[in-house]
Amino acid sequence: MEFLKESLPPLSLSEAIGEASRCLYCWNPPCVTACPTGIEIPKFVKRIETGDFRGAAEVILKANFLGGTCGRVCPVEELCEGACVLTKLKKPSVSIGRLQRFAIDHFWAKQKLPSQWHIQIQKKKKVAIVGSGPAGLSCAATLAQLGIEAVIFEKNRLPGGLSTYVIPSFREPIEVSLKEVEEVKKLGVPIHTEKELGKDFSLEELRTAYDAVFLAIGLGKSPQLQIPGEAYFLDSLEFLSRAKLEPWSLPNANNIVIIGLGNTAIDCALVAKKIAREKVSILYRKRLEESRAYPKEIEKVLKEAVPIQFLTMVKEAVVKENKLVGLKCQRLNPHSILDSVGKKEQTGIEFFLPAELVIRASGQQKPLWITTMAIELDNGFIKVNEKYETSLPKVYAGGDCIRKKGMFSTVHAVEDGKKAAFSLAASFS
Amino acid sequence: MIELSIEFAGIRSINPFWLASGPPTNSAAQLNAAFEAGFGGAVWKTIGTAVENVSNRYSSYKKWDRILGLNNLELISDRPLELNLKEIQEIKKRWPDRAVIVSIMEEYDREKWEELVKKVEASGADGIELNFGCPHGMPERGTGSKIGQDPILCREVTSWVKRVTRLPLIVKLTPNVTDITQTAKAAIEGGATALSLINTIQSISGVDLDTFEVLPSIGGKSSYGGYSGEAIKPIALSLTAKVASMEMVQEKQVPISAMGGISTWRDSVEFLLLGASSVQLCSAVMLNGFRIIEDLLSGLKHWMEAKGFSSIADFRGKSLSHIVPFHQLEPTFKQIAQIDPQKCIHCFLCYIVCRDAAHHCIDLTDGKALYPVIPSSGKHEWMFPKVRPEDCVGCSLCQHVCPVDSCIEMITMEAQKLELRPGIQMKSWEAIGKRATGEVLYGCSD
Repeated sequence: MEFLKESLPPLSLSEAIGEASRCLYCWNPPCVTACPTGIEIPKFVKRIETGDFRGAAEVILKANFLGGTCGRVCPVEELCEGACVLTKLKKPSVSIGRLQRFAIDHFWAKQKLPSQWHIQIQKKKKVAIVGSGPAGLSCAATLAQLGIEAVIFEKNRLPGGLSTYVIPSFREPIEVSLKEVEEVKKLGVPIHTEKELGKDFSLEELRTAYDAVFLAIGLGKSPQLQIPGEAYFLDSLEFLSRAKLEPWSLPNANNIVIIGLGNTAIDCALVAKKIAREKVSILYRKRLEESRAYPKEIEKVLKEAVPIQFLTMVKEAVVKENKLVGLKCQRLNPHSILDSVGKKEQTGIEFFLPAELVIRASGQQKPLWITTMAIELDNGFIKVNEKYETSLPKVYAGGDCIRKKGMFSTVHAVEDGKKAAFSLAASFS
Repeated sequence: MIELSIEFAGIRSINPFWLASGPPTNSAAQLNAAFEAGFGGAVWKTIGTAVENVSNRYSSYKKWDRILGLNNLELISDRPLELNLKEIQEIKKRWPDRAVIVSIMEEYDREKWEELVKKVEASGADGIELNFGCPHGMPERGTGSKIGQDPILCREVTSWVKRVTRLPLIVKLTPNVTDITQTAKAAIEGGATALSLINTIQSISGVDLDTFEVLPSIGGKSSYGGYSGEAIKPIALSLTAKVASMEMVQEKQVPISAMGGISTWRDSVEFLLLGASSVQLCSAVMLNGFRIIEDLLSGLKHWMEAKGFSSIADFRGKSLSHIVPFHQLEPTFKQIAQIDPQKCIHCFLCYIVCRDAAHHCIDLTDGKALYPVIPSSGKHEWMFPKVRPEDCVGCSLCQHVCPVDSCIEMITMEAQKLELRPGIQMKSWEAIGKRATGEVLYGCSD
């Protein structure tokens, strides 16, 4: 199926070497500063240029075990590539993301990790990791390389978290995510799937059975809009995971409407466009400049000719004979929003928008059950200090579940997992 | 009015651009196309002793997709001698205003050379070029650079040819010698009316890291080749200047036809400025075709217009006077590097090369003082490379690595400001030499 393929083709050997040769090899370069995981970018790029692909991959994997995922899903325009000094010369930046993908794909396809990376796991201390998304995997890989025993518990059937279930195939095919999971396992980390915290075991049990716990539980579904007929909407995460894993299960629809304009909403729109090739449109309560989506991503939906209706809210779902047929929408008065935040007067016109499939992509919600744990929260997110320690002794957390502000992308979760692992190791020594 | 025509050792040519002896001058059809495109002359691919060529014959030295140099193992013409002579005759008849010169090479046998020269003379060619430079295949048979590397052989063979021809006699010199002026002198003593240089530089262009074969691989084996193309231009420029500066060359006004890495009109002008009377191209044509002549002519003409020159003679050799022996360079001339913080893109290449390979005189400073406006985010932007003028020796390495146009400039210091480094005083080379050994080391002979 076409939409399951990666949209960017891999770089050919000659393209990769040519692209790598554009790197100025800056000293103390801004691209490295801009990389949340601090990959020594010019070093790996130069190694690609000279044909030392294995050496290039080692540089990447040392700093970021999920380099294959990050090379694909990182918002590089906002990070390394955005910082590339070439842009100051009005030249295109070095395609760091694609070069990273080239090096890692080449490595995993043909080679194994160097033997010195496989440290004998010492059975002295044992860490339980909850969640096998990027934060959990990164933590596990780092711990394993430090010789510390780690076990991952994953609530879903497949490990990998958002990379496996949610990131659209055109960005990252599922094989890439599962390959990284395999490599973490090869380092000596068992992953127990379909084991959910709060259901199959409690945090207290983990704290008793293990020397430390790392919570990498991510976030939940989109919050309810609290409008009539909402039960007919599909949650964005569910839509994306069905599109990735079981696209045949999605309902047929002539009109697909996405509510929200964050990065997830954009992924939904792009996937919907690829799957359905039908009318896809976005409804957004706010203005363009209020969207938290990356500008490059908004550009993508506009290029795909997906109309975005700004300052529009959904009043209710219109259901006929038990089937969703459309939405009752209303325009918002822009001035009233500007004047009184939170008191949005709905003074605009009302209209009907036909829709057989509506995807709710208005942000991710904090999992409700964490409020039931005796753990200190900060605005609904798990509160951690700079060592990734939570309020509970020996319990650490990282990834989306602690990210209360700023950008959150896979690469930040990877860095959380890595740093938390170092903190854990330090606490054991 | 711009006049591009030249007279070279009595040979008239409508412009100074000739095709060098090589694959592009293998046949009358090629010369015809080259002359139609606008080339002023051509040196016919070396004829003479019979050879057998191999396949393949080329390998290149590349930086990604850009060819820096070309390595070849092609021998002299492998076509029948009589066919070559017939075509030379035809092409000269058809193009009377172009220079048609024939490159020749024979084994070390006087009679063979004499016989070949007579045949070439009968073809109506404008001149003869002696190929004393081929660095591959031919030396093993006692000819090519074997002759060109030995001043005695060079003089002897030149004199053999000179005795049997009245045609202008150009000796093509090999760069594969320690001192090119020795062989240049021998050629003139042997009777050369003109010199051409340089032939290719003996080379190995690379080794295949998977097969361990040397490139180009001819069924798994290779041999020493001849290197040409852009990469050899600096070597060719230097040898041209050396020969053009020779007393004997200047006194006898021996014209020089220069070549070696010329691919643009700019390259050509550089050789003319260093004393060449005509220039020859081969690799650039091999990589782009004859059409480049249009750009060569256009560039040269427009440059001459801009500079107010009306003929090649107006500027030929003009830059030679700017070359002096090292000890005549001015020791009190002092420059220091200056970095423009407004143009800096913070790659810090200048900093790292100065720190690791020059004189440790670039600091990274807080940019706030230098840059009142905060540029876009990133903490490194607060750091700026800044030259410590009192320690800068003005080597200019930083300027060369800087990727930004005119971001680093070399500022010439006034003489009175030179006493910047305590304890160091600027003296003449003579004084420095005296201080070191007690007597004057430099500056005696000139």
